[in-house]
Amino acid sequence: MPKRQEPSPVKKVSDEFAHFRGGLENAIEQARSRGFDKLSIVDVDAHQMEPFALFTKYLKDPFKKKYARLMPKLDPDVEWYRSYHFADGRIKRSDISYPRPQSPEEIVREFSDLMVKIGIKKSIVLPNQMLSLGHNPFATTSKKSIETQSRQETKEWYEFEVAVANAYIDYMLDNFLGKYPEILTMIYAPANSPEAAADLIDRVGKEKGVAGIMVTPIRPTLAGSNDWNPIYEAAQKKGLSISFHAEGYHGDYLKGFKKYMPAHALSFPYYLAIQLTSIVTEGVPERFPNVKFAFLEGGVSWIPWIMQRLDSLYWMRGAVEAPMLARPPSEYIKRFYFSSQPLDKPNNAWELEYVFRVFNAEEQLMYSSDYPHWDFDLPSTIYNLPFLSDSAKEKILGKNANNVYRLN
Amino acid sequence: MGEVSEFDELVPKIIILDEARIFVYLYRGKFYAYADKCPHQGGPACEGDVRGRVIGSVNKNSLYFESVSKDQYSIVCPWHGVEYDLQSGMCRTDRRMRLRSYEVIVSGKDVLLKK
Repeated sequence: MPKRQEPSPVKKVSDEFAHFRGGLENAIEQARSRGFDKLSIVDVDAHQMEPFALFTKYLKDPFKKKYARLMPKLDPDVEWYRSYHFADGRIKRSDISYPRPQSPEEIVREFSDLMVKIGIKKSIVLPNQMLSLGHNPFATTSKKSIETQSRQETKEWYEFEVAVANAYIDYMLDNFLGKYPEILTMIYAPANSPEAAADLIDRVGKEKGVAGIMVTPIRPTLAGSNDWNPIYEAAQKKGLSISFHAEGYHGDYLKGFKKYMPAHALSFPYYLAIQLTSIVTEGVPERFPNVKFAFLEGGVSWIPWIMQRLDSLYWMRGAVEAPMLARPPSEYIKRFYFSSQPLDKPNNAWELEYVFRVFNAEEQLMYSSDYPHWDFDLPSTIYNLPFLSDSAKEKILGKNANNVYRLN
Repeated sequence: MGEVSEFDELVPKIIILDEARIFVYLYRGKFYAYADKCPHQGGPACEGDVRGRVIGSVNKNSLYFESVSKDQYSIVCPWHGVEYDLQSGMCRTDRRMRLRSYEVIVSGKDVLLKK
């Protein structure tokens, strides 16, 4: 197929308005006209482009010397973001420096001021580059897949994930948590090393501003395995929820896609569905009944699909292969929580209403923006839905998050 | 809006009308005016770039290929990349969405916007 030739922008908005390109002024106006300040809106999934150069000072022995040199390799490829992620520069974030690494001062400005102006009172700010640590931390230094890595490489990769996870939360504690009530985060659980993840949860699980525990789904192990028990035990002990945060992964069979859209459409719900399936079929909700689970950034349309798919197999094979389950899989999934973004946009409102009814979205769905990622959603994506009552909107926009995360 | 000679092709001029910002574009001798509010999530659509429309075609050997048009342009919302046809304001991917348009009248040298 001939390569598409993309020209640079044809003409730009006249210079006198050059400062006014793609900012959030319209979102501020939406918040004002809809009275968002009267609602307690919580965003359960926003992002920062974490500055790894500032992390190295939080690395502790025995990792310090070994991994300080690798830290900068996690920094974003800004050109890749602009050309691929931002559709050849069509998408703009003029209010902030993303996709470049963001300073602590900028994060404070963004989440304690800008997001508050668009109606969001509290943001759970998650990392960006670290989302790929579970499967491919040395992407810039090695082209090897998980399967072809040597035992030594795998050991280093697991250690590195633990080191970065610890440095991340210490960076967040030092700069934001407990200092700015609008900014919260989650512990990044280095789930390839469950004992070390549990140690980290034990160490910082009670700190102010730590809202919960986040796990990325794309990694060599499945969350229903007994190997993961230390993470669930630690979460249960500290009373923290576990959130699986989806990823835009363009590896494995998705490598064949040369464009962003198809890989993006599939990878987010697909890898969430894998870990959800593992948790449910291995009976984790029965084994750890006090741990709340959330699934972030998969949208909502995959939820009826995975419910019906698992239920239909459970009727036939569940007695043999899912004996821990006292009820069909969908009954467990209805007790999980989900974030709203990227909210699906079917052709008819009733299609979305149906999906909301299937998993009782009024109680189980939590608004998320995913800002500043390219497909962010404003609070109006929930507020404007014609089929939700005022009380359902209030729950989805903030109250439900209070049931899942520690927001103080 | 000013005089015709003050407009450059595809470079919008912006006016405020009843607190709404309206972008006026000149393209091949015709004027087009749109409110800069994206019907998707309310983004400032007209603050985005004007880009050539991407077109998918099949060549004589039945091979699919894509190219960028040199005579059809899109206004691209900078928030999420939703594209609108410069000459109609129609959303390229959802025919039910369009930018709010205004009538532009040329009277002698003057470009006027009908309220």
